[in-house]
Amino acid sequence: MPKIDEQKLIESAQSGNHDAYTQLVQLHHVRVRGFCRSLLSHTADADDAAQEVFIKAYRGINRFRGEASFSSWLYRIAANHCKDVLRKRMRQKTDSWDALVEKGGDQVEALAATEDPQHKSGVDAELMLQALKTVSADYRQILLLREVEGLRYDELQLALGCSLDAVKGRLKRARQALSMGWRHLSDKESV
Amino acid sequence: MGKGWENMDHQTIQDNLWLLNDAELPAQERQVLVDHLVGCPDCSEQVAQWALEQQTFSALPKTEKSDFFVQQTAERIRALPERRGAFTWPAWLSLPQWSPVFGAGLATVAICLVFIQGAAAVSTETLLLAGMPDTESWMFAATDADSAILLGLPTE
Repeated sequence: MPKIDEQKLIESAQSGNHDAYTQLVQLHHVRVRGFCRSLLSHTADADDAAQEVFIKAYRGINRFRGEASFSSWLYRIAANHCKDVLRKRMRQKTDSWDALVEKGGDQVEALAATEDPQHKSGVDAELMLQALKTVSADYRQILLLREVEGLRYDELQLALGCSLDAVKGRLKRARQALSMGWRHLSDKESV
Repeated sequence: MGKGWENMDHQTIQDNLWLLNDAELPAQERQVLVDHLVGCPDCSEQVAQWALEQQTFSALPKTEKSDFFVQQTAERIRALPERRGAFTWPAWLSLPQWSPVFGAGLATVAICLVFIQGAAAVSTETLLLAGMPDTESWMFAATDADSAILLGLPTE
């Protein structure tokens, strides 16, 4: 869709037009859902998160000034929301883990040590997904935005709300971490 | 072209390799790094390794369009309380040629307000004398000289 049309849709949505905003959702939902899926892994959670992102964006659309592209702005909301979800998930995991260990003790520990058979695939994409899980959420985020969504450095700067130097530094460290995870998993697979 | 990379330390070159890979490097610096890659097996290996990993990203499962998702999101948005549109000034108001007109208008309004306030203002003296009978008001309100002037008597 030409940019001018998107601009009109944004202006219309800013004045409270639901249909215009629905068209914006239509335009961007694949990318936002893809981004949430990559960050949260779990598809249902990711779609819920993507929906929340669009609701948040709708509520705050009057604050969108057009300095960044609309998609960068959405990514920024998505990145922050997914971080919150991951934080919450981590907390719940710790809570439920503690409760389980109290109840089941060693049995639970043994259960956790067994590998999920779904992850034993030799497909490279699966290996990449696994490698992505080994890096921190911040690194995963920047890698996906760059490698999957194809954002340029200036767009990353806007989407992540940090300086250009920070983008370069974080991306470099993220790639090094991913390479390390990738190599580690490849070695494990080849054994 | 000379070997400009020889003036850079290896760490800087390695940092810049990422920028080269992402096409975020100016043309001149790009050439310097390409020259370096030709003669440096370590850096070439690193670039090759990263290119391999990068290819794998494209193999990640793609997200499909979902009308259900769009419909569900639209329904949730419609269910939200009505949001008023942001107030925006008409575009013609922001044209620079209107600035003197607005300036003059604002000044006129300000002057009018000053006059209206002046006419409506009540002095402390008036307030103090408001509850007194007229004769007593004169006693308190004016000095002898003022009273003489007001009564048309000769003054000293």
